Amino acid sequence: MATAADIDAAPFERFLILEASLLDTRRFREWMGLFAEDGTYWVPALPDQEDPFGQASLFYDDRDLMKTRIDRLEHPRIHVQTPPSRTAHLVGNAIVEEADEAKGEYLVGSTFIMVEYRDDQQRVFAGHQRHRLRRDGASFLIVQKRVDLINCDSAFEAMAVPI
Amino acid sequence: MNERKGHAERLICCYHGWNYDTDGKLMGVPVPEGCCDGFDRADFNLARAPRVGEYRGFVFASLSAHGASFEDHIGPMKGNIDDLVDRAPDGALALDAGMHRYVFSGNWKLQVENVLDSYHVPFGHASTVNKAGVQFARREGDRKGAEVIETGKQQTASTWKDRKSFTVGNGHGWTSNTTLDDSKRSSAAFDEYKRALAAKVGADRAAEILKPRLHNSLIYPNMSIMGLNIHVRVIKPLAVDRTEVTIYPIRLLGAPESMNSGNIRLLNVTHSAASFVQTDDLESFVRTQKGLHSQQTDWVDISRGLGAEEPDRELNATRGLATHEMVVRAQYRAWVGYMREAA
Ligand SMILES: [Fe+2]
Repeated sequence: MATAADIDAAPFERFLILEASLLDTRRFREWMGLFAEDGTYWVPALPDQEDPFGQASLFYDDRDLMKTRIDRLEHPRIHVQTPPSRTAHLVGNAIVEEADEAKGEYLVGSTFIMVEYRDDQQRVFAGHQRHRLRRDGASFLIVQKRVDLINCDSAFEAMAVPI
Repeated sequence: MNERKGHAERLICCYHGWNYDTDGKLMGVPVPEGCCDGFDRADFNLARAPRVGEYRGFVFASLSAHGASFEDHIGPMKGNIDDLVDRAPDGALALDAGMHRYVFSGNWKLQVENVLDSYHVPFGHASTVNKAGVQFARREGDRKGAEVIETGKQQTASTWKDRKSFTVGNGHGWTSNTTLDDSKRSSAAFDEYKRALAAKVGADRAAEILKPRLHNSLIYPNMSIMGLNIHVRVIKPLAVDRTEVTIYPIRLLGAPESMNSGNIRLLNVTHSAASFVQTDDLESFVRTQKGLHSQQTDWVDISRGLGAEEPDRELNATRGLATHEMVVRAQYRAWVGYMREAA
């Protein structure tokens, strides 16, 4: 079996770039479609947070909550998105950290920067993300996306869009 | 203090190494031979809050040596604290499940008013309500199976109009709740919790504890507790137009972990900086603050329900409708009182 280090990161990086572009173009429903049925989206509120069950998190959405979040993002009276955020993601440094080729499961680490502009204010989010991916035909499904913001335990102004 | 948590026997100043014990007593001054005659370490202890009081594990500090006593100030709200703490089968809470921290460019009183404001909910939180007027299902789908609140709650204006609010002086107040009924909740985790509570306090007392009496309680000026949607909130003014809020999820000691974890997850959705609910409130605070800078209008109307207040002898409180503004007027009455005292 090939070890993770032998695996070419390029197809995974292309997938991460696709994901980022769906977020930047506010195609949230298509973004949700990248997640497996049992997929989760997690943004811890602590560095090195062990799990989302014993401690508060900024986001911890399963598909049901993700759908509720996106219904709200598409709601005409979501005040915190009037006007909407504009975002630009930059994703890089992708590394396949773990791989199980037999099962088609991979853990891919990467670094990201997201700049958000809304209502005359611009701010920057940055951190490391880990995507647990499952091969799905020619592409992948996200089993878990974990986003570790470098300032995850700071006090934030309202955050409306996923990172 | 530079670290938010940790253990230390001494607090050592990074600059000249003066070090203190954890009571704030100055224990050591490096190179003591340089000190003047008559230098007394006892004169240089860390500052103390002049007055500290504790009730059921909550510690309150006053930075003023004067003012109402702890009993006079907190006394009328003890029942609200009991309402929360009594929910724990072991009769104690743990605030050790992390915290949500958010900031906004607005005055601290905007958040304080909001805690007991029911008038805004159908409008301010329209984005959480679907076309049928039903708020998003807060149902848990988590692997531990906790289901923390029933689905299908109706939150249109008409369903809010029967809710009550209460004041007891000192700016304190609370709102009742008619839509969340813990006695009707059921899920594997919640049923296990109810059994654990009944085993500790008896079935009758458990039923009484789970009666939906309180929704939000405000301990003026800077703390609120939510018994049904379990958390404690602390409001800190940073500047006249900047406020930081910390929200602590609560673990009920003696309750099944699956129920506590369900509450922690629910709070991510309702009160994190990225939640479905709090974010629209934050936007409202920011816009209100901008409006308050206007020189063209000088009104902020908080007269809803003026004259409709009535005494509630059972609760020893004043009662109004939750969509009225009695609670807000009570807050400003207290605030004006404090400002006068200080002037
Ligand atoms: Fe609100």
